[in-house]
Amino acid sequence: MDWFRTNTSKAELYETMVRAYSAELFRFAFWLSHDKNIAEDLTQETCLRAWKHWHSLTDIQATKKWLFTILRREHARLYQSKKPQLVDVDNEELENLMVYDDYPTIELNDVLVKLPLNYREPLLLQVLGGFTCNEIGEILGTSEAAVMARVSRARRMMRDLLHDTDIQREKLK
Amino acid sequence: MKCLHFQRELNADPRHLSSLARKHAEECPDCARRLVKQLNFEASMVDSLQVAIPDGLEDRILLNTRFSNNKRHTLYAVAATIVLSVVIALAMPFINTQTELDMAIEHVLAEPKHLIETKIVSTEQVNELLARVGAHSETMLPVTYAGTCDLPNGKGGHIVINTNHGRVTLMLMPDGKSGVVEHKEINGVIAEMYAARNGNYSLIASSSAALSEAKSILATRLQWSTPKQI
Repeated sequence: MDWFRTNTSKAELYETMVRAYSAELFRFAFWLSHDKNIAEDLTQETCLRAWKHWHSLTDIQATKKWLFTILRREHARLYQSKKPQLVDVDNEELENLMVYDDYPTIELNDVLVKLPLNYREPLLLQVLGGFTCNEIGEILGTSEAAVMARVSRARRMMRDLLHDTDIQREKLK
Repeated sequence: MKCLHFQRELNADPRHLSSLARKHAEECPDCARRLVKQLNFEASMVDSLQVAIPDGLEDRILLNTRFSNNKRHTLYAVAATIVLSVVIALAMPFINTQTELDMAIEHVLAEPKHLIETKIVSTEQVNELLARVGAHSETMLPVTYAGTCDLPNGKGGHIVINTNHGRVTLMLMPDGKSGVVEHKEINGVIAEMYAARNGNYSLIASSSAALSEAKSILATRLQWSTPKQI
């Protein structure tokens, strides 16, 4: 007998969860790692861990936050054990990955990946995950105030970098 | 709320503004413009982060989860099989269902020529074999064949006795372990096994009459170093 099928309610919830959040998890993983293969591995591993530790999910409403927490830990674990050899995604490949592939998008992405991880991470959780600063604080294990400071700083850095790009472009004209 | 506080809040989390901040934006045209600009920027950022999801990602995840469960159960099954195999292998010598009487019958059926041939056999030859199980005979037995043989449980003696009802084989098993009297009728033969001084011995006949007569002959003519009841 298929063991998976015998745990019907759990399996159904899990399948719903995978179908609801795997895309967001993949995107978060991609912008953390900047590598689509690592992103898929991280998403797979996150879901597998979620299945194995399903019993520890006490509040079903907090599923999304729980999943992002797992993925973030998996990403951190990956970088703790060994830093993978990342292949820089060139603009052409990045354009293929983009749903909206106009030039400003590429520019925004270039700027985003230049942000240090401790600024990029909370910003991604906010922009991609739609979490509040309080929730991000819970995911990152830090205070809401610290998150607010980090995302504000991240936005300022992005603006500065975009401004620098504009200046450079003006100089080239 | 002052504009500076609004800008801080806007910069920290533009999509989750407090009611005070929202109220301030309604009242302050500059901050309203800032809010629109920031929300446009946020929308651009959200758009820019929309990377295409690999085809079949969800299905691969579900399949992987299912495989992981099956893999774990398969590993348990393999482990259980290995343990069971080892246990069976270790227990095999103790769970062999073939008795020593079965071995004797098998040996007789495998060598039918001894039942038809007639050899001149001396009393010494017979006694030499009988001595292996702790017996001897003072008087000559009606023996048509006597010899040693290899049995699964060791070297044995093979004697064929002539009776009025046909020939009967006396199998001597000095290394036999079984001391239980056993009776068996199988493959057209009737056989009985008894404990001897050393090991045991069996009589294998083609009829109960032949068997009875052979038993009677042995009872009257055999002597045991320690008397045995036949």
